[in-house]
Amino acid sequence: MEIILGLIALLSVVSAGRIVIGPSMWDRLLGFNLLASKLMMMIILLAAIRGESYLLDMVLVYSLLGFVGVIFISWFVQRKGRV
Amino acid sequence: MRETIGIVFMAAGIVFLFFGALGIYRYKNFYARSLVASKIDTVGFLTLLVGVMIHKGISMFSLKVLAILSLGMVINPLVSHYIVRSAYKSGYHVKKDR
Repeated sequence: MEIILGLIALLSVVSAGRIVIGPSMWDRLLGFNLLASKLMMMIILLAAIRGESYLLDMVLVYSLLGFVGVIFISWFVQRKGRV
Repeated sequence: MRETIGIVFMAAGIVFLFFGALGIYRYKNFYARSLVASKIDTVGFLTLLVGVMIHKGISMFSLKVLAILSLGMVINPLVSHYIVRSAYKSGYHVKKDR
């Protein structure tokens, strides 16, 4: 289980690389979305390893907030600032 | 027995995630990249969470993981679609690579 956690950490660094490299702004949004979902997986695995279930509630809130955040950023960009 | 099946599912999720991370760097234009990344990432997310659920068996824990799984199944494609839509609507046209 810990090995899988480490592997996901490695993969999330790779996704973060896409955020840094990404030529356009939307690549960065895409990379951020991938990083967020990998972060969720890591937290869920941590909760599974430790057996504590309150971490799962945090993941639920985090996924919803990440969702709203990215949706609003891309909508704001699309409308060119006129929300 | 149940734990090993869970570990196998999680390993499959990791393989999907690895290909997703590979897909990000493989494609040159944005639209192919976002298609690969979002689709494979969602599948990796689902497989991994199913693995965690099998590993934990029938309990309150896996019920919460099921809730997160169903939520992620809806949210992840929706966010990726919206990002690509805003990219297209703002006129981000790329030439087709080979």
